[in-house]
Amino acid sequence: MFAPGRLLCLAALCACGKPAQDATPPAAAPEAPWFEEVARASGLEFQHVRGLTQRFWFPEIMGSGLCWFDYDDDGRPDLFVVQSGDLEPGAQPLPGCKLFHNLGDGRFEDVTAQAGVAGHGYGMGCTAGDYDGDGRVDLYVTCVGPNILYHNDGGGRFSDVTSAAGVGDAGWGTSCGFVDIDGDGDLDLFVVNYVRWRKQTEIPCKSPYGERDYCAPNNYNAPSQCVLYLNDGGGHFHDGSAQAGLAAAFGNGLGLALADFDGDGRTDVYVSNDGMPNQLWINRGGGKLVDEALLRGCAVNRNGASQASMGTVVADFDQDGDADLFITNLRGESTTLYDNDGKGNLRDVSSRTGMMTASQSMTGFGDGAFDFDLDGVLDLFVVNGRVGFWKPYYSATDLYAEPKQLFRGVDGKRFEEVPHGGLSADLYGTSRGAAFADYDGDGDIDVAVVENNGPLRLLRNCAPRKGHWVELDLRNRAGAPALAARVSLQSGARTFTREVRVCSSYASADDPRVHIGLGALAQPGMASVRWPDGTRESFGPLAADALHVLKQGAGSPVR
Amino acid sequence: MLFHSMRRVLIALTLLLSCLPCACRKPSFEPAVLSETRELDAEVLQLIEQKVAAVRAAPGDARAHADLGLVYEANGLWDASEQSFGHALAIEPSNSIWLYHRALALREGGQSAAALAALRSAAEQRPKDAAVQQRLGQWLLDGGDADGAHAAFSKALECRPDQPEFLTGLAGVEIARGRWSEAFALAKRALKGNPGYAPGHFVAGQALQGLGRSEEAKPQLAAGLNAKVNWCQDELSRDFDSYQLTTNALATGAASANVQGNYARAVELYEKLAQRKPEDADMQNNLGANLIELGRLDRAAEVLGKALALAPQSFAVHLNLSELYLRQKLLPEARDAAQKAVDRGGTVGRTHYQLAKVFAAQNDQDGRYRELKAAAALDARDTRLLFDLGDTCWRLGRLEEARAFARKGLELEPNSLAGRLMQGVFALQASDFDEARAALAVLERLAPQDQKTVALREQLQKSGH
Repeated sequence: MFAPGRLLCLAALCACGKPAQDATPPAAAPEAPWFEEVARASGLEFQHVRGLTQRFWFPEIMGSGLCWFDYDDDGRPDLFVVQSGDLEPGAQPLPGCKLFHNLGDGRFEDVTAQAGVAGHGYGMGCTAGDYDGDGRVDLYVTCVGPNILYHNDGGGRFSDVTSAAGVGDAGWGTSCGFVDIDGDGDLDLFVVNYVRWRKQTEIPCKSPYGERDYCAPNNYNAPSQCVLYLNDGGGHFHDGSAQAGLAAAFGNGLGLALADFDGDGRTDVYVSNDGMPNQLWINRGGGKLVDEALLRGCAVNRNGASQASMGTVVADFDQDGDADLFITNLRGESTTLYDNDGKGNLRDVSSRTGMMTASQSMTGFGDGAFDFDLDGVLDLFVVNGRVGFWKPYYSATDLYAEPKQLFRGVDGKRFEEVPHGGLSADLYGTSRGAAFADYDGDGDIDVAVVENNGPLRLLRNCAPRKGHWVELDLRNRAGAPALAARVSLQSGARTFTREVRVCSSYASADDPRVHIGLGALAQPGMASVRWPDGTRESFGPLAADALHVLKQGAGSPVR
Repeated sequence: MLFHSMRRVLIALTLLLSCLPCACRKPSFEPAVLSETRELDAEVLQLIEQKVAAVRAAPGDARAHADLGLVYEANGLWDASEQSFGHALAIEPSNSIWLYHRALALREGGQSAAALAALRSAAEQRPKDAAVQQRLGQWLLDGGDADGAHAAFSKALECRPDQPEFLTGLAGVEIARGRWSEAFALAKRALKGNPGYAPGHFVAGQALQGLGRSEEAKPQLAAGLNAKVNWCQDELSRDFDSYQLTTNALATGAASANVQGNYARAVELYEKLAQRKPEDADMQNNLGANLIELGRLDRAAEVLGKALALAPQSFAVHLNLSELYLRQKLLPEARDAAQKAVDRGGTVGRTHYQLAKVFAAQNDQDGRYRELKAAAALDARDTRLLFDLGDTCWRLGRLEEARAFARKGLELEPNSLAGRLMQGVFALQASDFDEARAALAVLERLAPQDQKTVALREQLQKSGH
């Protein structure tokens, strides 16, 4: 039988002047953007400065982070952006860090000068917390060199109290977080340090193409120790690192996650190291920490390889009530997702996420896990940017720039990449810090991003909504965010578990308010809270699509 | 209706006829060329030009395209490599080793999905090529396809039974499936074949941890840290190695040769690099360091002198100069250079370690102890420092401190022969026969024929234990 259709196939096969092409997936149907870039329109004028570009000093490629925190307690998250500056400042004044007050109408006002938080070093990261229990949120800034603690004096003003508080570690600080390690009811301070670097000991490194380029951290063979400042009360801390067990452990630390991984009610500490095994400091109580990362499965990836770990996020991805870990890594390594078995054993399950291929060609830094489209499943947003020159490059004006990536959560275990990072077109930058908040109070999560040597970005969430949401503002008795409080929200057959965290991503801090996408669930039900002091209360029933303030002592006690 | 059918037949025939020439004549291609060559080293450029000329002379020669592709691949020029292998395959589709290398180039170029498709195809065509099957197994395992990975590693094993790398791959598959006992059995087989294979230790540790044997898992996991898969060589590997000519490739090769203790190869490569970049103090310095290891001290002095002139403030140059003087038994000079290294790079542990070595040569154990402690405070994971501290303490008569350092070092490197021997000898001196026997048991497993193992065994026997 003669079948003309077959002949057509043959003819197509015979058009063989070109190499056979691999099957490519069909183009995805156009999708409405999830984000729009509105920084400038919102009054966020900030240009990151890193110093001379041609000398290839290591800190200059590492960029900085940013923090969402409500410094004036008006119920709206404000934005603090860390400035780097110049490691060899000249006569000209350099731009400093900036604090932007959220005006509540989608716009921000620069209040840095009034607040007195411009900084005076080569800034890296920041975190926020009420360390002295006066109900006002204070600010800590890490630097290449001495860090800074700003006390929130109220009235929109801060004082530099670093020296009096004794927290001015002079290493190369990166991520940091306030956390009650010793369980005495006040906030201690954990600081991650990167490499022991000095410009005098800078070394020349080359790109794969033979030209001068930035070094990798292991070229310096100078990893650092983390620092734990224990709060003595009265506005003073002491260095409890040795007592805690941190003194003998070294790493090129970049990321920090504070969470109760083993479910014993104490906050544990995960430190992501760049090119070295990561550390999971299990809190044994009384200020003692023991690194059990190797045995618990999260020091290295499933093949035993150390990765260049950067941004670090804790979230209950699979909704089984425990803290899972997501980490961004260097180009060629792909991102890593560790699944918690509920006892603090973390298993590398990256191969089942569907993200390995898409993330392999990027160098990930800041990251966040939120339900951006309110479908009831956590999504992942990752900002990327290279640390070494590589061809092909995306932008002729910034050779280290890469696009941002958005991964839609499918079922808590798998993710699908959304084109263009959820924007209408790729947005390139050498991205570093990313911090997340519902800054416009519309019930969905927005993103602020620092581009190394580039502008600040504000990505407003404009994703088509797929469901309901609820936001929970958990406050301690002093009225400050109750860091490390754990809330479980029961809704029908589903339970959403979240912890109040500010320390996340890369050298950054998210808004401490808990955001939960509910999907089709219109009635979220009761919230059960375990406060940091171990007491439990329940609140509710809570209405959907609203922000609820849950104050310690105002709920119904739960035994 | 009939008209439409006839029309389709005619179109089909026309298309078929139009492509008949390609059925009887092989296609030919212009060589894949780089749009930008300014940043390439002259040697690489010269090799590329030579291979491009060969393709231009015979644009229908698949082998010439593939050879060009291999040159690009060896020097990290992935897009051009992928294109060249594509040309070769279009001309000679049956040569599946080129498809394999095209897959590698695609993956390195960031096209992971296309790379996997190409590798799958290559593996189908090369079921008996262990290198290809191993690579496929690992990529599939990384991608979460445990069954596919199992099939690929099994095929690799059929080609080379008991190859530790393939057994380790299969153990990884069983880990992914949560079958801990099966994984442990495979890991044990792999380690029997190659006791030093770090990925084997890591999967053994994972399996033991899965079996709830945490204490046994710990040393295995520690021994497997930073494991790197050994990739099997394929039929193009020899040419590939000879084509690696970029400064980066040479530097990587030189550093790798240095780490492996192949100082002759390292010197050969650093000589090339130093010639290429005569003003680069780093290259001169590294060359000097490897010359010292080879014992070519006069040439090392010449090269390090150049490095010092180029970078008088470099702690690394002073470090190597100190080592040179130490080998030349010029102790005051060695100490002076080591002190300069510390002054310029005191945050780097190696500088203190070098000064400690000089103190050791001068039999100044207190000075040695001080500098080793300073080095260990900066490089707590360097077991060499801990074992040296153990030795220093022993020489200072502080036996218990010496034992503590040896134990600390063994926590990090449980299979260290020197560390185990130290543990055994110190334990014997402290009359702690249990610990001495434990150390000997490990040594019997690691190196039963080693003279030191034999000596320790004899001493224990003499002591009646």
